[in-house]
Amino acid sequence: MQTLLIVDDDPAIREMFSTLLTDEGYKVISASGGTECLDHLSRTTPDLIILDIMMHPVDGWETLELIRKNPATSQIPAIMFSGKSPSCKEIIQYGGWIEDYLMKPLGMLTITGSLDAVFERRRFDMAAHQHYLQNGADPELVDEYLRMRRFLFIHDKFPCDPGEDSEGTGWVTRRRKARFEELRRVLAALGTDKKPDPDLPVG
Amino acid sequence: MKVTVILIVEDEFITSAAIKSDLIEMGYTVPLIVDNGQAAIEQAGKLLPDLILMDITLRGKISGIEAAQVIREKYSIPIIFLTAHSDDLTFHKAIQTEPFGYIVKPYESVSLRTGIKMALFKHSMETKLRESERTVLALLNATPDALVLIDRGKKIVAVNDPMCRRLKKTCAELEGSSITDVIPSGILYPGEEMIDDIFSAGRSFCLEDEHGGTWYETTVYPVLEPDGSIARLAIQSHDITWRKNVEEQLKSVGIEQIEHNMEQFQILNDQIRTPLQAIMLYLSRGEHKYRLQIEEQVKIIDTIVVKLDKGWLESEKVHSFLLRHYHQDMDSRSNPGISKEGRT
Repeated sequence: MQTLLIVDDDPAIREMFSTLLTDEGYKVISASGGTECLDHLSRTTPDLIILDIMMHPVDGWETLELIRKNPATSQIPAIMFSGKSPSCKEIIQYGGWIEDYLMKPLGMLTITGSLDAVFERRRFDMAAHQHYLQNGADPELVDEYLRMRRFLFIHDKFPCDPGEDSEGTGWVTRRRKARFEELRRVLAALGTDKKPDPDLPVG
Repeated sequence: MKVTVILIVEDEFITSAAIKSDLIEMGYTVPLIVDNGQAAIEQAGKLLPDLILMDITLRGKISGIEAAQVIREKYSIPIIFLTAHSDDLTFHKAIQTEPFGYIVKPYESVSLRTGIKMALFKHSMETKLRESERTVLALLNATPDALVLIDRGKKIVAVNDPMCRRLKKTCAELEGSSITDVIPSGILYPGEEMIDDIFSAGRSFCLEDEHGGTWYETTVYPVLEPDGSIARLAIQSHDITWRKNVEEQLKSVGIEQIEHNMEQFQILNDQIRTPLQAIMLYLSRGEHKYRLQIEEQVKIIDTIVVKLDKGWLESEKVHSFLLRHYHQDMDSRSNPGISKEGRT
C-alpha cells in the first residue's frame, strides 16, 4: 500500500483527501503546514508528498527546499497542488524537483489519474536510474538527467516563454534542453542491451 | 570734457617744470610733482591720476622702476618712463614693468604728446578688455555647471571655477594642459574617440555618467569659427544626482507596488480555488442530484480566476522588466565601462 502525505492549510481539503484517497486504496497522512510536514518526515517516509503552496508561515516551496536539502528526504517524490499558477521563476527554480504541478480545482478522477501517472513516471525513473548505474554511469549525471527531464515536463505543462532572451527564461530553457539531450546521448551510449521502456514520456 | 590728470615723478626741478608747462599746454591737468619713489606710490593712491610720467633715477631708496612696479600692481595706472638712460640694461628692467611708453630725455614735445595719447588709448582699450573678460567670467562662473573649452589638440583653452573645484585643481593649473591628463577618462567628459568624432561630425553629444556618488549629464558642443570650421569644443557638465535619485526612488516604489499586486493576485487565486477544490471533493463522495450543474458552476468560477491568473502573469512580466532595468542601472554604476555579459 502506498503512503501519501497531504500538506494543505485548508482543513476541508485535508479531510476530503484523506477520506477519498483512502477509498482509493492509499494510506493517507496529512499535515496542516510546512513545519508539521517536516515533523512527519522525520518519523516516516511516504511514497509521495502532495504540497499546497500558499501556506503560512512556511510555504510550499520553502518546505520543498527543506525536503530536498535533507539527504534523508531528498529522494521522496513531490507534487505541488495549488490554487495559483506557477511563475516562470518558480518553474525554473523548482521544476526539476517536482513530479507534477496540479492546479485546483480538479475532479477526483483527474487527481487519481495524475497520481497513477506520477507513480508510473517514478517507476520509469527508478528503472532508468538502476539501468544506467549498472552500465557504469556517474550517479550525479543520472540525477541531473532525471532532474532535467522533470523540469522539461513541468515546463511543457506550463509553457513559460516570455519571448525575450534577456528575460532569462528562454535562455535557461534552451540551455537545459541542450543539456538534457547531451545527457541522454551520453547515457544512451553506455549500454544498449537493456534499455528502459522507451515509450514512456521523456520531456 | 573729462579732465585728464597726470602725475609727474621727477627729481630735477628744471626738467619737471618744463614737462609740467608742456603738459598744461597740451590740455592736461598736473596737480602735483613728486621727486621720489615713495611719494610717487603714495600720491598715485591718493590722486589716482590717469597717467604717470616716471623718471627712472630718483632720490631715495626706491627707483622709478620699483615704484612703477608697485603702482602697476596696486592701482593699474598707465606709466610712461621718462629717462636719460637709454642703455640696454635699464631698458630691459623697465620693460619688465610693462610700461605704456618709454621716452628718452631730452624729449621733443611731439614725442611726449603722441606717447601720452598712445598710452591713454592703449590703457582705455586694456580696461575695456579686462571689463569684458570679467563679464564673460562672471557669466561662466554664474552657473553651477562645469564648463571647459578645448582645442583640436585636446588642450584646455578655458575652464570655469566649478570645473576647477570639481577637479580640485586651480584654473591656472588646468588651462593649457591636456584634457586627457587632468580628467580621468570615462568621467566628466566623454572618451577621446568620442571627442574626435564630434570634431569630425560636428554634432553635439550628451551622456550621463556617475563619479564618486554624483551623477553628471555631460554635453559636448562643437564651437563654430567664423569660417564655419570647428576648432574648439565646449564641454558642459551638469549635476543630475538629484534627478537620478528621484528616478531610482520611483523605480523601486514601482517595483514594490507591483510585487504587492502580484502577492494579492496569488492570495486571491488560491483563496478562491481552494474552496472550489473542496466542493469538487465533496461532490465525489456519494450521489448528488445536481452534481453536474454544480461542477459546471465551479468551472465558471475557475474560468474567471484564470483571468486573474493572466493578470498575475502580466504583472510578473512587468516586474521582471523593471527589475532588469533597475539592476542594469545598479550594475553600470558599480562597473562603469564594463558591458553586461551577453546572454545568447
